[in-house]
Amino acid sequence: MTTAASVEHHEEAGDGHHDHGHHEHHDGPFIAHHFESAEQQFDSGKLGMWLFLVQEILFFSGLFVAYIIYRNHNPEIFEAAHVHLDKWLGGLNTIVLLFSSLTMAWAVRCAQLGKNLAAVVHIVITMVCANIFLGVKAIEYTHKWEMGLFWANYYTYGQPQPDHPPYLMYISAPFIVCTLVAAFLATVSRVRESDFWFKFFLCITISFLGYFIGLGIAWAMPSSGHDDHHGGHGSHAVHAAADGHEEGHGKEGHGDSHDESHGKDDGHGHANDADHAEQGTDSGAAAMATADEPQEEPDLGGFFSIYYAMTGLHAIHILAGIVALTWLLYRTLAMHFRPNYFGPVENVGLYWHLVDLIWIYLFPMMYLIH
Amino acid sequence: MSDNHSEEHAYFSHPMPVWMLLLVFVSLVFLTVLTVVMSELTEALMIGQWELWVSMGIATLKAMLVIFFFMHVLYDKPFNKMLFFSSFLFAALFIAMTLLDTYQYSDDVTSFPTDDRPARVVGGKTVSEN
Repeated sequence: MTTAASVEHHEEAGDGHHDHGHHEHHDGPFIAHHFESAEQQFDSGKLGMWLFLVQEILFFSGLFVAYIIYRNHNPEIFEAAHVHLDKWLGGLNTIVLLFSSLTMAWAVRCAQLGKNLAAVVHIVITMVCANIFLGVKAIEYTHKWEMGLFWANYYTYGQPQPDHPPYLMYISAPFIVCTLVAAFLATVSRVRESDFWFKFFLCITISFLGYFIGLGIAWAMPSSGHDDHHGGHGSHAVHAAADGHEEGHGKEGHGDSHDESHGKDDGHGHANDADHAEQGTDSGAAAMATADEPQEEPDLGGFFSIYYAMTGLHAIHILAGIVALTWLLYRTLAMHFRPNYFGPVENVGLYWHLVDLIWIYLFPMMYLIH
Repeated sequence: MSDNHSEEHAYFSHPMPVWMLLLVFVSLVFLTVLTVVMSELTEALMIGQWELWVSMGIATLKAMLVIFFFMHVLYDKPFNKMLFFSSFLFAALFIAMTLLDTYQYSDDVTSFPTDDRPARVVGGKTVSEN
């Protein structure tokens, strides 16, 4: 598909040559033959989107049930675990997501009024916010992994932590690659004087820079103090990632042979018999992992299984949202939307608000426990 | 319906006024700050055990703002409204049904032999020490 103008031209030319089968049927280039009107097409698409969102809610509700059951049976584990979650970072991410919802709703409004270029601005801001969210989440996750706050049987908090691989570097690598590729393609488009693709890839580059903004904000945020006895982990992570050096070699106390691909297992007494650890999220994990741990520190592996499953699935939805927004970016730059055709923006917006909605519940459930 | 309709003002869309979007956003941020502050002041506010319900109530209020205004459910077709809210109904049923037998098997679980409480055999029958 080329630009809207040429498509429209083609449509107008084609109108004289063949009959569409409908007399009053000419609502623009994107209205399909089989719809009575633009409104009917819009309503059909939106109904499909609502059905998808209903499925999403039911799909997430499985995890909410897991959370509720586990919390009901083990309230003390949730009380012990909340100190490991930074409510300020969580609150920051909540506001970032709410702001992205605002700009998304605003982008829908712009598309409804046919203001494609204003919609581009709002879509790019939404994408930047999505990436900021992921950047903050990356700092949160890697900070926990460095302290051994893993899921189920991999939970090794309170034990001496061996030198860990540069988690933040691993998690950031895809974003670095995407930023560089987008910047490269923007440069190539510039050189080849393709204005459309230059704008497109420039917007993509800007949106990926949001990830690094998120890293910076989370790194600069003052720690709320509960992890002081492990102080300096956050900055250590960034330095390790920035240098990119490997320091994980054979210092762990349990004598397992070190292997990068099994970096998470290192130093954990149960690493060898924990292949099935992901399944043992409940009391089984608690019973198995207590053997060589300080008794005063409860085993929180079960909590972190649920935490990573829920926030991880949510983060995957953010990634999918970024892909959908990239598609919208292309279509708004191509000036496709107009007052009788804005369904794609509306439907991606609905999806984006649902992702926000899930986070609205995840935030108090995970971060605000007492 | 003729060609020039497409250039006219929207005839089936309902653009949200900017002031309404901004107001909703400000309310959402306010409620977020409120819920964080309340979790900080749990002791002072004497809400203790109700804290979970208060924070869930605030979250539901925020969710309603997002649903009705950002997702324009307020102006959507009744069928779409019904569809969307039915998903919450079924999620609630799912949770309620699962919670029905919460402590049904706790006797079996606590009597289950563990390393600390090994099972012993009395008169050919395995019992656990409690």
